[in-house]
Amino acid sequence: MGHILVSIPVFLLLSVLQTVVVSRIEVLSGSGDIILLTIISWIIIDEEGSHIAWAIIGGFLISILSAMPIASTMLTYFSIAMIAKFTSNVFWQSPILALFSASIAGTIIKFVIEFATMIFIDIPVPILISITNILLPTLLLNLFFTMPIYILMGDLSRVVSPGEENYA
Amino acid sequence: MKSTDPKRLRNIVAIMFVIGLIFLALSGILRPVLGVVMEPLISIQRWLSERFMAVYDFFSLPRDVTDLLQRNAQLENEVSNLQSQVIQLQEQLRETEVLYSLLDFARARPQDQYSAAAVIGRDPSPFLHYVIIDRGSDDGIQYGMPVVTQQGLVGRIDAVTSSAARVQLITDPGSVINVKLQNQNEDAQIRGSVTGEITLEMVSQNVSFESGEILLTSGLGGDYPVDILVGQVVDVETTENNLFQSASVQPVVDFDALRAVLVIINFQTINIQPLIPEQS
Repeated sequence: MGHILVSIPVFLLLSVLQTVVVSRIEVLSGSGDIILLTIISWIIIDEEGSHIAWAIIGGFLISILSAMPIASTMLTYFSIAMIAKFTSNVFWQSPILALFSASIAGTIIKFVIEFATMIFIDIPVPILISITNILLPTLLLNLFFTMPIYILMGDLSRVVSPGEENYA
Repeated sequence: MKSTDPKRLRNIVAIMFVIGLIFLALSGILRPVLGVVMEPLISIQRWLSERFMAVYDFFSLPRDVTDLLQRNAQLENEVSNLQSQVIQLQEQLRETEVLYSLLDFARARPQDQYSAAAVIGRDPSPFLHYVIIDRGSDDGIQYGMPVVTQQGLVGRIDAVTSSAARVQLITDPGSVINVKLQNQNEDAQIRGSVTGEITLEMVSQNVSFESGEILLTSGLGGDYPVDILVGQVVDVETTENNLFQSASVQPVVDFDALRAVLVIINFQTINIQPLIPEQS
């Protein structure tokens, strides 16, 4: 329960950072997503199983700020949480491998869902331009932000659960 | 007659001698003699003084260096503070310049009422081109109100809370705006894209226009006021097989450096949806 309560101020802070800072750091048309990386990092570090709650809280806060439909945003972050849990189970001996695998897969899943949403709401989006101008730069930026977010989440985990040493 | 005391006489002679020496010294007669006597004394004094100061410096200099280092640190702190103040003042100056420009724009269009707002965020999705401003329904902002800067059209209000609002930029892929070509007096549409580029569409093949053509809002559809500057045509694409011509548009607003905007709060959007016949 404590881990879920902690996620609220964390995501509030990260949402502000995302809209004010990270979204302005653009490569072509792509920008990083620290909410996505936070959810993935926390799921890999935390073993209490609060990943669904983190995905819901993160997705909800982003859906307030974004013009993307709420269903799309919630589905995006829920899928990312599932992928992170899956990679965490598959690569349980190597959290770093799980982290980067989940970051790459999560970024691609987010792109696919948002692309499908744009098509669904009848906004024309060329696929090749979207891949070269959005997906690849976003992937690059997310990989760049992955380790700092993971280290921060590790520190947060130690603060929240001082007795546990889940962070590798 | 009382005999003179020899001791007293010696004192008088000594005093007279001293007074005489003083007079001689004051008159300058003794200067060469004094020079000969004083020169070695001064040399000795200089030599001793130099050695003494060397020893004195040896013991006192570390303390002075410490003092200097502290003073240097203090001065560096002051310099840092002053530099941060300079940066703050430059920032305020830039904001003031932006606000003055907005004020000039507002004065140029007295028929409109404006509410100035600062841009405080961007949409987290890279597919969308929206910004968040720090004015909401408490400040009279409503859905659909046009947003401009001193340069031209920015977009329109898409969502409102009590203290903030989300603005759909004209570069957003979902944004379609009715415009007119200033010199041709021809209506057309501009459409945004995921890359932030704007395309001019629906220009009749009969119209001849070139790069540099100015685009203004036409007011058709009731979403935007008339004659707000939108951009400039940079590259015309004419294909004979197509029904319409298209062109790339350079917006007049620099969306990467968007800091403050004006919301036209007395503009009433017109909902023409009920007038459009339903397609079976």
